Amino acid sequence: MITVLCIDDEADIRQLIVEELADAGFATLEAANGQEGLEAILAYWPDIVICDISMPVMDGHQLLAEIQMNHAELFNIPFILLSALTDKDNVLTGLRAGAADYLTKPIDFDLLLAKLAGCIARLENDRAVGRAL
Amino acid sequence: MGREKAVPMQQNIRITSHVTIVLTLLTALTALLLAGFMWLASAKVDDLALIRQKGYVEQGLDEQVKAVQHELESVTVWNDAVLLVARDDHPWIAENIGTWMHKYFSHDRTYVFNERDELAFAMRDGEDIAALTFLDDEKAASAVRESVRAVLHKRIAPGDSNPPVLAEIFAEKILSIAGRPAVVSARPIVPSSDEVLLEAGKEFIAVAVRFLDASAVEKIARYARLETLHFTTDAAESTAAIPVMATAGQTLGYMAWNPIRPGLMLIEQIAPVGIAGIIVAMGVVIFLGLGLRKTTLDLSESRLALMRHRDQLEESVRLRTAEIERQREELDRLLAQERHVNALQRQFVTMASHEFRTPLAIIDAAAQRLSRTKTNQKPEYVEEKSAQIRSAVLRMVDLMESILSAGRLETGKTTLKPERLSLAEIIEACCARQMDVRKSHTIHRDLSHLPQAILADRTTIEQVFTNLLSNAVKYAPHAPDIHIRTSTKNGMSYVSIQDAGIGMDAEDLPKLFQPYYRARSATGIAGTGIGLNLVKQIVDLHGGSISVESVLGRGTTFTVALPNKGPLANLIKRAA
Repeated sequence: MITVLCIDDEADIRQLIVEELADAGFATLEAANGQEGLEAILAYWPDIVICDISMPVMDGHQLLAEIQMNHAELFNIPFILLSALTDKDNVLTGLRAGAADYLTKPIDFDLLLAKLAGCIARLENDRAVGRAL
Repeated sequence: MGREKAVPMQQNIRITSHVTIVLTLLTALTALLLAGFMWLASAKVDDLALIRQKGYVEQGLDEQVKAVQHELESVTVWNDAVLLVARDDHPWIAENIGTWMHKYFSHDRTYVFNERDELAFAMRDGEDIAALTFLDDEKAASAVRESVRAVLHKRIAPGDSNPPVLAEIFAEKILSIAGRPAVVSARPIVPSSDEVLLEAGKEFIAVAVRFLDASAVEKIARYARLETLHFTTDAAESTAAIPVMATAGQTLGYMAWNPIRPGLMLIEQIAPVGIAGIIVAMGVVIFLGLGLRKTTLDLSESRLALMRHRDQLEESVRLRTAEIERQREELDRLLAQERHVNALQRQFVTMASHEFRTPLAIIDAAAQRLSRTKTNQKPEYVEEKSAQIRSAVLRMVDLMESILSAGRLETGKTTLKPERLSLAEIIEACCARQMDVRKSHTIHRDLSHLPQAILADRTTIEQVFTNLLSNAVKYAPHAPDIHIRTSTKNGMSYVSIQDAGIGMDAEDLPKLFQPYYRARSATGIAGTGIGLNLVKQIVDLHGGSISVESVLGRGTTFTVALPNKGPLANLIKRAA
């Protein structure tokens, strides 16, 4: 079963995403900001992370930078950034920091699920190759 | 500047005074020297004149003395006289010797002695003395007669190889007769040619007496051109005098006169002109000095004026430069401000977009969820989703209201419509709405200290508390307790809203109410930066105030003060 961590400071959004993911058959984890998200990642090693950018304490960009600099072992966990910030600067910053994709709010659940499916396919391919080696 | 400028002026005046004094002194000195020289010259001239006068008087006296025996000669060396005195022809003697001598030579006394030395004839002051007596001059007359007789005796004595010529024998004495100086002269009466023979030892002797203090003085005076000449025995009487010496050597008296002083006379004549000249010269010097002083003063004045003008010019240039610099700085500042505002506005647009998209995302997601789970729709589930949608819509409405209000305030189109309202009710409503939107936080409120009603604009006051409460929730993500405390004091209602959130740096506090400004600790928390500016403007419009206290990491407290009697109350109070 694929585990998805959802990091968002808006409880309503978090709840709605988790509901949708649960309906789609994923195991879900929640975190309200980057700091909590990092702790959850380290504790549960989720397969995929969906992360907001604007958050108190530690935002999405900071979380990605933190992983890049101090947690290289987490680097191959796909990050899907999901933000209400639609400007190009934020998109480029996020993708350059290693995010697998950048989605904007309002959320199209079909699109989100399709991106997740793509990530999972790649993950399973990687794992198959890893097992074969 | 004033003091340093006064110095050259004083110096100039001092120099001018100095020049004037020197010129005056030089003029005075020149005048003094001239006067001294004049005095010296006149004294010298006077001395010379005196010496000359003395010479004339001496010579005159000498001539007067010598004249006596020459005059006597004119009547004693005469053939007729030899014959007629021997015959004792009295009338002839009186006529041709006595009267003649008195009349033409002014001889005072004439005596004739015979060969036996007896007085044969006497005349005094032109008067024939028939009694043949002397007055007081017998001794003197006898003395000169004796001298002549002695020479005559010697002539006839043997062994005299070189006998004196008869016509040249005479004796003369200057002496005092009754206190008067007199020349007494004696001559033998001798033939003037060989036609008459005179036996030796038979000679008559004529004696002439001439006083020097009478007609002789007049003659000397005429000769020497000295009108004041006179005889005196007192030498101290006059400065100019020559002594009249007796043959025996003693001083008989003095020929004295008021000396003629040509130098002094000259000085007396030119002194007024000289003094007038000096006064005029002094006057001219002083006039010139005053002129110099005035010119110098004018010069100093104009130089001072020039310096003042220059200073003023420098000052105005300096002021102008400073003004230009100030304007440039102002322009720079305005430009920087403009850039800053532009940056803030760009940030605002980004954030505003984000802020709208967040509730929109909730609405959209909730709607998607409702449409996707058609098969399994419990009423509670639908209820929950619609509640989420409605709360998100409320957020959007609040956001929109904030932005619109900010726009209205910025363009000055906001007009307050004060009405009597209960602040407690409004805050209560805002709290309820906030807790609806964010269920994570609890607002603890004590609204009991507020007045029943205050005069305020409902819509904007609602915005104030909505904004402050949503901030308290937003910036305290991990501190769910928010406290509202109230009080009333001096006609003002105070409401403070305290959270235990992230707080702010003290440096951020002064800028907090500026439009679009966001505290640095708010990084990562979505916000437009217009809320607090809006709150402040509304509170200000109501005549109230807002203050903030904050400690980074410990929380923030905003305190709003509103006048109970409405927006005008404070204005009226201030005007009074």
